[in-house]
Amino acid sequence: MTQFLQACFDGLALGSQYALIVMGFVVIYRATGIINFAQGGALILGAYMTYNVSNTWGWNFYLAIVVSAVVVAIFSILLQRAMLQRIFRETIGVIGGLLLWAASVYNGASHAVGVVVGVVAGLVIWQLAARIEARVGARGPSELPLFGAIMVTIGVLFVVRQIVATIWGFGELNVEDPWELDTTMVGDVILQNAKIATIVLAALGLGLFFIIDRYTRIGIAMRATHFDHEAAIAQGISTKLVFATAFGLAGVVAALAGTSAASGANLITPQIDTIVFLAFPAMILGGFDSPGGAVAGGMLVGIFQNLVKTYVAQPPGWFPTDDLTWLGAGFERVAIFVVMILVLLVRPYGLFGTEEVRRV
Amino acid sequence: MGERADALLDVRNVEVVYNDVILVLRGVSLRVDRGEIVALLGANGAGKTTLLRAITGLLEVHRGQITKGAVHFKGEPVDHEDPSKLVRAGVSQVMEGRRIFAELTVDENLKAGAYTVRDKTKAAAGYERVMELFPALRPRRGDTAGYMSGGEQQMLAIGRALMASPQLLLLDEPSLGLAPLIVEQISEIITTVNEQGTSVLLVEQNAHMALSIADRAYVLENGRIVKDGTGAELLDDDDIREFYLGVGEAGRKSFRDVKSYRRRKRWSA
Repeated sequence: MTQFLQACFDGLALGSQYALIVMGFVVIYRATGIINFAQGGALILGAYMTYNVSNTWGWNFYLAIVVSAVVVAIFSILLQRAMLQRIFRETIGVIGGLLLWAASVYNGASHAVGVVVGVVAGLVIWQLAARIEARVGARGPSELPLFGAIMVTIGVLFVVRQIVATIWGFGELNVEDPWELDTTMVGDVILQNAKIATIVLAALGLGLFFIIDRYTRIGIAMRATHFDHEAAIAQGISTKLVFATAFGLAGVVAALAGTSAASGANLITPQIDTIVFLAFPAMILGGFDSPGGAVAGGMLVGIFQNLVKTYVAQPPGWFPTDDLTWLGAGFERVAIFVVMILVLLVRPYGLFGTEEVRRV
Repeated sequence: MGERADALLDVRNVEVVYNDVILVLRGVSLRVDRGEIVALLGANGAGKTTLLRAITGLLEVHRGQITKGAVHFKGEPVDHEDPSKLVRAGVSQVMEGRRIFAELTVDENLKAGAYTVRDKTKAAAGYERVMELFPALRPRRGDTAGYMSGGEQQMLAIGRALMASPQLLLLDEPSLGLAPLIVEQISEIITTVNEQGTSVLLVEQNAHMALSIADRAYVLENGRIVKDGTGAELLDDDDIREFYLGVGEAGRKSFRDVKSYRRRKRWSA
């Protein structure tokens, strides 16, 4: 029983992280129809911003979370403006400039030189892109197709990894959070304080999101835009504002997810975003466009993953075999994808995704 | 008919092209004066909806463009305006096929309609007005809009458009797919709304319904206005009677004669 409760608690903490990550994807998908892979980059940035503010600057940790959330939200909104407001050449310029800055720093240049190289390169690339656009005769604001936008987000993810590595290095860093390795005992179950904090953090972040989504003017506008883009515009709803809000909220939850992934016993590296891919089954289980499903899917997958992990390591007495090591290490990560496939066979829209409301 | 100064909406010689090549409107002019109900009749594909899009700024969503002419609202040019600015200026529309937010509740739909209304007391007043106009919506406030009947959905769509307290209401085929009794209710509501001070541009295929409540009407065919006059005039017009109301000079027409439909039009270009 203790074993079971322990797995459930750990699963709940992991599920909270998944829920935060999935919520970021869902809110953007719902508003714009884009799967924003740059969400992984936002998570990395969130973790490192928290590190930077609390460790390097020595500010209060909770303040660091807030700063991190704000910074990542701004990053997300800027990304959205670049992609969806179709200032494409500027985006290419900025990305190119940042990459060359990173490249020159790797090759031994100082940060000052790197910045100069980056700015010059960015301007050159921007101008080149503008020339090419003029040559191929793209007139006015050309629309970036949805698929193109998704590809751009993947590019942004890789760029962010490199930028973060340039600034903070590839090494493992330990965020000085107030929980460290402390634990609380409830009966025989060991509750890591950092995990309790993760659950609380997720509850706060997701609760805030649900209040905004349900009851505020912009929340209704976001949902209306999702269900009928054109009709929403016809009501005078500003899609620009809706998109910006969606990306901003996604940035906040990504920062929270990043911070919680960096807290407690965990260390951060620029590859911290691998957890994003583990959250995918949760997103697909919950249904792409359902915030409620994001939470439910996240929790289900988190708990299931931990139960599998626990019982594969130590099968229960009634089980015909007591040695499951042949399944291999990390089998729990495979198991969640198996469950995802099974659920999709029965419910292709996920457990909570909207199929389409129709009158009977 | 009022002077030009009275014109609330003034569409002058508008030409609309989709995807850079498809010419849908070929120089359409139309006017809605303050306090009027103006009907716009036309068959499928005549360009009625396109004309509404040209007015509301929704052309861009459909890759359309006004290539000639101008649209003025209250004397101001509005043909390259953001749709939301137009709503703020006082033009609301009920789109073809109702287009309510099916997954949202009735109340949320209405709140979405009041998006541009910042003033809370104004929004509350607008809500009360809608509830008085459509008492059937009151008991269904918390219901998912998509599960309501077609008539209720149309009422919700009109109610949603009225939430912004528009000066001009654009209605795109509000009678579409509704039973005659409901159509009658809708036309009564349009008259009431008009009496409360909202001008109406009513796009319809149901010519009888539209002409019976309209002060003036236009007939749109192949992207051109081919006829206009007062509602009563057009109701009496032989061509309108034959092609839009289905009654010829010799009473009901036989379908055998429909073949010669096009040839016999007296106004054909």
